[in-house]
Amino acid sequence: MTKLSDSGLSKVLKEMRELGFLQKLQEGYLTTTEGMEALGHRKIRAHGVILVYSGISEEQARRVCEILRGSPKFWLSARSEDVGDYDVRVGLALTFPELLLDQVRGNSKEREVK
Amino acid sequence: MDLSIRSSFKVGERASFVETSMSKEGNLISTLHALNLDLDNLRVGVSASTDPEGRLRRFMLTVIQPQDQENVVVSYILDLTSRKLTITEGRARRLEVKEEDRAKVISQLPNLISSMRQGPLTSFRSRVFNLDTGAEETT
Repeated sequence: MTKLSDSGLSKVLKEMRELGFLQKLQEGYLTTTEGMEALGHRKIRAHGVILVYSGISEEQARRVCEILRGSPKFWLSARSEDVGDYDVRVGLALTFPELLLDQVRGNSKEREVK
Repeated sequence: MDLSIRSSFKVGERASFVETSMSKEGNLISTLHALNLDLDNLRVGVSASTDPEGRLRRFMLTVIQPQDQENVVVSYILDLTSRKLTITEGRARRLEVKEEDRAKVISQLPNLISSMRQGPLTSFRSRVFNLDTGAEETT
């Protein structure tokens, strides 16, 4: 899966452990908080909830923890729908319709300004 | 994702307003409010996207300036959800854009946007900044 040889994989895992990004357990490897931060993920503990997150502010993460406070044993996985990309594309196309001109004109040759 | 045009009109000769809404399975997800200005030798677009409750989620400023045979395109995207500012600078071949082309792009936007191509863009690069720390993030 990693396209690494066994010795190559072993070397990488050892380096990751030395950097503190991975922790070796009896059951396998665990990504440490430092490892998650290196991946751009953050972790907080608040209101008895551990939350791993990225792309939201710490305040938002704390509010999620507060909402989940007192819930019995649970696991939650969530991510945003990629509407941001659509918004950006539409906004850009309205200012810069050239991006869509070839599609509007079908396969007719684009007219370049000389 | 379904895109529909809620409103589209010209404001005088050099400005236009377009409002679009994005929905999925009948549920409104996002609304985009966009004002475009054609100034002397400069095109400016400002747009804001709001969530279904009308809260501002994203603000975008795009400036297009012709230079020689190319257009220089700069966009600033202020994303209040992910707390990031993305600045993209690019260059594009200059193409002739007629008023009828622009009108067609707007009217056909729902069918075109999902397969938007790179068009005349020849190069672009993005820089991302964290809104809380000001630090530039590696992308």
